[in-house]
Amino acid sequence: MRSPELTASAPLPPLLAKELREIVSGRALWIMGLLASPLIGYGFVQAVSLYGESSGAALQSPALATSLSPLDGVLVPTLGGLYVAVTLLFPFVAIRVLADEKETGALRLLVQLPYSTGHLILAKFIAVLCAWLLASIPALSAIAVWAALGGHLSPVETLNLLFGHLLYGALVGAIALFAAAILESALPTPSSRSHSPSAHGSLISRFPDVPGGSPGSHGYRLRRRCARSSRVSSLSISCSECLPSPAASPLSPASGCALAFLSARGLSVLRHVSSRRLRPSLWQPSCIAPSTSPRIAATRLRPPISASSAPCHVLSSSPCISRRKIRATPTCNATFLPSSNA
Amino acid sequence: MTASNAVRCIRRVGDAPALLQVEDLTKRYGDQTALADIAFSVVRGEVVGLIGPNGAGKTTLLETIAGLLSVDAGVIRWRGEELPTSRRREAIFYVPDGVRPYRDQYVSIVVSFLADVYRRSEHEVAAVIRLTGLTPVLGKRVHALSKGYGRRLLLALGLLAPHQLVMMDEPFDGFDLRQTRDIVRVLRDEACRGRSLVLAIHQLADAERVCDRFMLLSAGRIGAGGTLDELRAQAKLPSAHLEEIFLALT
Repeated sequence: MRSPELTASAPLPPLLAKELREIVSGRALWIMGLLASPLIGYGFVQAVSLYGESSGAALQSPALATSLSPLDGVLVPTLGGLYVAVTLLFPFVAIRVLADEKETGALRLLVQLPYSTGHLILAKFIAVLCAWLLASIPALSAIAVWAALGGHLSPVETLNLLFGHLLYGALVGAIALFAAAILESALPTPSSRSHSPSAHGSLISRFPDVPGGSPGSHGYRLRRRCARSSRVSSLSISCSECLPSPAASPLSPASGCALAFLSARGLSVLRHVSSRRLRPSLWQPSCIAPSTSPRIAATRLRPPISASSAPCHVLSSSPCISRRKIRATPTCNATFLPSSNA
Repeated sequence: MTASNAVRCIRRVGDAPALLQVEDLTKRYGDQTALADIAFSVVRGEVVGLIGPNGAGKTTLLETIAGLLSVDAGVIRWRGEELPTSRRREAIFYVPDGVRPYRDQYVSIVVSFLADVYRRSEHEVAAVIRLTGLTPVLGKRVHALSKGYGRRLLLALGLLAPHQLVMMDEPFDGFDLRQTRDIVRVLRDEACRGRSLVLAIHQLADAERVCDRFMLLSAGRIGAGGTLDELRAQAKLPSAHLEEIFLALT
């Protein structure tokens, strides 16, 4: 038998692996990804479209051209979708890291393991950051698509922008963890255990806080008793001591409204995208400067018009052109998109 | 394990020094006193049963000893030295009741998580899985386990902990008669290997099967304590079962 002193410390990797498994196996993260992807994608498409049109308009105005920047025109609006998703949905992902363990009682086992409180918090925070990274995949994909299309990406600016979003995600995650730590009951997260037949379902989280909610206390037993009584029907609670009113948890309707709004917004976005015919030209380079730059110029939604004699405008950071500069190349052999008044 | 082996373990226990001493433990929730002047000790290789009805304070007592709840008064000693709350987890492992840890994970992953944390060898993990009968459900997710297998999982986690003292809250809840007998055998074997167990039980027949010594808890106070024979003597009921003794002494 080992002496008690040998249990004083434990390796960190199993704890980290456990936290990552927990956050990846939950539904909240994937639901967030599902909702955020169309939002970010639509933002990206719109940003590229508007940026392309602005580039076209800038043909006639060098002053306007100098103010055009892919950072402001494409990257910021694209990551705006991520910002919205992180603000509205990421708390549900982050709060699950702690609230789930509080709700199931696993936290009582976790705090007995030979980890310091700092290590436990650190592991959970790293898990939250990894969740943010996974949630950012749609936005990072959009940036990759922009780069693949030949759009300009300044590494320093882009990293700075991503770092800002990382800090914001960390802030939201930290606030969510703090909220989960001080709240007695877990929030009804999107990952509420609809699949769980046990007494710890999402219904319990709607119960009001009862003093002494720890296992063995009156509040804990009350919840279990109420959950048992309501197991037959998740909508009817026969136990007179239970308060099934949604008002019992003010965050429930708020989060529900937020999700409903987001869903409606997502649906409208999808409808808008599907009703608007995305022409192939959107994904094609409007102009390719054959000798000066391999990069792609601005893109537009208008159908391509063949006009080989028109000037080809390149807005790119290719070696031949500095960023935020528009210049007219003598001729363009490829199909290109002239400006509206050309 | 045969009955004679169990008796030998108990006799050896009788000579052992106290591993854990609880002195004048008091816990209050506002005006309500949940535990009042609780005092008892546990020696190496002993199975102590905390016996009492629902609301007697069994879980509260275990959680205060484990350091999960603060106490208003009292001292916990480990081998004669005071054990501060921050160091309880180094000496004591507590398996709570009604816990279904990491429900989205597979049983095998939960077991190996604790095994990795405590650096248990594959041989030790395999032995614990075999003892607790978890083999058929290793590929299942925790939320899909039946109540009995959920309890077995908790028991496995408790056995994987290397602590010399393990406290379990309602370890037989969810088991049928045959399963209870199997688990009693597992716990008795652990005690014979030198591990001390403190079990909070409200099923008196089960407690009688597994425990060496009993603490009869009622309304936050220990009404009586000792072996079954000592309790019979205190209750003046020479051939009584624990149920009758409990009713007589509390």
